[in-house]
Amino acid sequence: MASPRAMNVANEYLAEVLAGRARMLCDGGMGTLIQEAGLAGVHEVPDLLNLTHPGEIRALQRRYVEAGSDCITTNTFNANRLKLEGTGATVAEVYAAAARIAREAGAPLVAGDIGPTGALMQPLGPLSFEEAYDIFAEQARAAEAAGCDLIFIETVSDLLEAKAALLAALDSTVLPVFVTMTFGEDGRTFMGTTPAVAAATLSALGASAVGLNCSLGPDELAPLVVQMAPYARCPLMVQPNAGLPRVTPEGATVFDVGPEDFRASMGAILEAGAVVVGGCCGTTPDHIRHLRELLDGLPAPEAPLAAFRPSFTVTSAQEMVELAPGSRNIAVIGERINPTGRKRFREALLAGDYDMAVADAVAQVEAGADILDVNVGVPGLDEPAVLRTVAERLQATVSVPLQLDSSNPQALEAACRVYAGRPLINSVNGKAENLAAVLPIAARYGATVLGLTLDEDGIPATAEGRFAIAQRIVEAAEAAGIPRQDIAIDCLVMAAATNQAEVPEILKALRRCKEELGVRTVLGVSNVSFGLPERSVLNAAFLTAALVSGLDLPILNPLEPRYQDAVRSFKVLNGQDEKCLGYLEAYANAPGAPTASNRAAASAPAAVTPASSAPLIEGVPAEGEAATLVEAVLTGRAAAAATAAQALLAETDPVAIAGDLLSPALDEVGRRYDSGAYFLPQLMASAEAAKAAFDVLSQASKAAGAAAPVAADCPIVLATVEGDIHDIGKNIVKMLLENYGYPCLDLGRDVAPEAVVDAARESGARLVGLSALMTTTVGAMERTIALLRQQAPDVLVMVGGAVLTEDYAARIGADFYAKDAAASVKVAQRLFA
Amino acid sequence: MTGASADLAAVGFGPCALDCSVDVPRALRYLGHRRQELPDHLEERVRSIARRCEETARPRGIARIFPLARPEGEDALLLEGPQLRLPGEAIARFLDGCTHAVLLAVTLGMENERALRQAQALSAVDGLLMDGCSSSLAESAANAASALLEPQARAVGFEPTKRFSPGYGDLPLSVQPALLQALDAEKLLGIHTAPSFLMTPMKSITAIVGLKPSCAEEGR
Repeated sequence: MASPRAMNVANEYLAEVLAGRARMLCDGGMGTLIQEAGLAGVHEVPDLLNLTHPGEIRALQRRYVEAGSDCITTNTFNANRLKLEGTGATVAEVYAAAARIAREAGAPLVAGDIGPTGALMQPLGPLSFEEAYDIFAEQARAAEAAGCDLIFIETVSDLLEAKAALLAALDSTVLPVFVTMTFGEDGRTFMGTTPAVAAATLSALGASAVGLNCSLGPDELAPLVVQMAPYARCPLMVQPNAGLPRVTPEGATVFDVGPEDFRASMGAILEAGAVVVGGCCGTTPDHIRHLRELLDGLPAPEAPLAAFRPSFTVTSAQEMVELAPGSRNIAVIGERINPTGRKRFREALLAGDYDMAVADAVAQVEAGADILDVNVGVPGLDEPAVLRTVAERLQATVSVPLQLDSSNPQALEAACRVYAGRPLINSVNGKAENLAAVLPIAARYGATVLGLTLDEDGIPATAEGRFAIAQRIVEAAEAAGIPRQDIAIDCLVMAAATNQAEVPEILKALRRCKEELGVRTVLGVSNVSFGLPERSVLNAAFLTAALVSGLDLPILNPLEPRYQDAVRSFKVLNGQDEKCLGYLEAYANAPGAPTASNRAAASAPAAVTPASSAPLIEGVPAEGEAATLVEAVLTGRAAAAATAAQALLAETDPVAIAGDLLSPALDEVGRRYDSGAYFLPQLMASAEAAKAAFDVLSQASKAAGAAAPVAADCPIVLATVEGDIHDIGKNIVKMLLENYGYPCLDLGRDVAPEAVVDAARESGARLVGLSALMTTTVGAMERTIALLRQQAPDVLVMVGGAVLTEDYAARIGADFYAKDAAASVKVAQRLFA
Repeated sequence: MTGASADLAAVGFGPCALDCSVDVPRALRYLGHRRQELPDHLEERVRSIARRCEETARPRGIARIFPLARPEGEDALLLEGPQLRLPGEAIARFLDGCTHAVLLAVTLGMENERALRQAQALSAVDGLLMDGCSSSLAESAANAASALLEPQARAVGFEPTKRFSPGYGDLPLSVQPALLQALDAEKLLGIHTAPSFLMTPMKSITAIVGLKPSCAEEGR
């Protein structure tokens, strides 16, 4: 929960509403009324009517006041700087006029309305979090300055956008802020957010009310309100449309649920616990009049927030992991995204390559991880920037909630800010300095917190010592506004080999924390086996012991088969795997069927024997590992290629393997592709297989201290030009070039000319490859080439992409035209020969 | 005279879910497949990705009918109501004889967008296969939309044309934002346009379908 924020509450009645003890009736839709008044086409942005037709808007809002609304919403749904650009009106002016009009109309309370910006948030769209935050902050300040009593943020589909708006309003004003999101018939927003996720995230951030509005009528919204109620720690707000839209013969959009039916349907919504109600599109003063009668006939809300359930929740924008009070369920936290002990991952991070993190994430989720720990702490890395970027990358590609893992408070804050959902922060500990630095971040961003039982004196040897620190952490957290249900305590696992006597103390402390402090428990299980052989055997046993002692959130490698066995078994024993379906699915086969542990071995590809003993390609032996490798590359089987390469290393050196086997194999693939015998996916699968083999060779070379076999000593710079976001073609080129041994520096897509030039100069590249797939962006290609000629005249340029021809390539000054990926390799081969 | 105004209200639908699936051979054709023999493991990979594509997509669509006007002295058609201009010769030829036009928009939704990005991050091959499968699914969604629309049009005496999309012929891509605006597609389907006129979610299709009166009863 956000730290207590000083708020200006306009009057007693509003205070009662905020406490859930009184109901509030908002107004209805303005669109239909504006249309009926003949004002619909006057401005492209209807909010400008506040400036040009104040009297008419006042009259419309007066009708809602007379119908009985307790609160009038300002006509400012579109009044942000993006939509007002070019209109001559400022955000401040529009809000000032709108609020004044609402007051003059007699509104008992005035809510400053903020709608979505209309632009998509990064990375799916162009708007950064900070830009969105600024846009909303300007609106919130304008609403407060104009004298609004509260702020409504409504009709948002993107949880991150709702968060940006909410934070901006909370930071820039002292007004109560209500937030409602808009859901489709399948119960999710366009971005996949559920009512439960919205409520858990936004109420933890500090909204004074959360809820739903628009898109659906009251009958469709009622079940969604029921879904939301257990997760909202503030009052619920619901403003349905007057049913689903229908187009009339004249082309107008109308809504069919009339005032009586609307009122009847709202009963279920009020029953579900909504205390702030109103209407959205299609509703009229008549609808509100009926709601007024309904509300007046009801007794005061009896038990505010009766449906709220103080669960431990962690969310992404699409999913929630919930540990409900009294539930014996567990949730697995995957630990793999961590550079400690993972050289390749460290190198990838340093190179700015985050695809590996995505691959790790997907693999862990498929292996059963419910939450993913994300740690990017590498010396020399800008941790705040990288943790933020990796978090953004992961939330754009996987749906599970994230645990943000860093000892750097700036990194935690940077990532929390752009995280769409409620993150779990790893970690705080008992040190006063740490608590002071990290708890406010958790409170501000509505995060749940993992607390380590260590302090200035280190890790206590006894259970009592650990428990005492846990107590201190919980007290400090509550003082910072974080309730204990949002805390998970890690009693810190010691190695049995060195601290054997402490192992029972860990479990004792864990039990005490769970039973006496009412917090959740976490453990990084694999530490117990540090220094011992067959670590997974001990780890799995300790995991089971800990789960039985009350461990809620094990942190482990979900890909380890023994962990999978232990977790699946425990979920049968605690009832989480209902009817043992998960267990059955994993293990039910004939006796002797593969278990998880030997399933991995079984699925490793069998050695491929060539169909005939004739040589596959000239110069390559027809049998043996060499033939196996070539066959694997020709058929595009990456795992088989890697295995064969590994086997070959026993008899041949990496450079020979690359030169005598991989290169001819790829050449043959290229020939088959050119002749039409292979099509693109086959070309790429072969390239993938060659890369897998090449990676094996690279690792072996490095281990031997030799340089990896490369075909060029400088990288080839690749980019999709400015304004263009198509990169599949460029990625294929990169893949092929790398497999042929040419290191590539991939700048990505939508790359400005200056960035291409800088990269070429800094890397010493001799060749730049540019890609453009749209006629509208070839101009950017021309500009990039021109700039390169000016500032890096020795660098050669090759271009490719569906819109280009050899002619056009020559006209814009390119040195080479590559009609497809295979052609780009030929260019490189000629250049670096 | 066809199309009494009460009848016209029966032409159009959505926003609603669309029933469609990935056509794997077609997806492969998008990727250049002609008659090459596909190894088993690659075939399995395609099918697995096609399944994931279908699981993550939320195909939805919308269609609205508008009267078509040919204003004097202008080289563009006009859809009355949203006042949408359709310039160029190609669309004029395509809609020759039509009194009305239907605007269509379909999308696979944001979850498919995320699945595409995930596939691309995992491997270039997976990214390519997911792209092909998604394109096939979007095409199938557009066909499902046409399948909904055509009987509606015929029932009120129109013969519908095939689909014509921005970017075909000399109908510029730049009409995309106005077309989506006319359908309120951002609000109803969650489709956004970028300055480059590309849509997000990227697997979205917009189209114009012309409606010709099916019996020539002019001047009765």
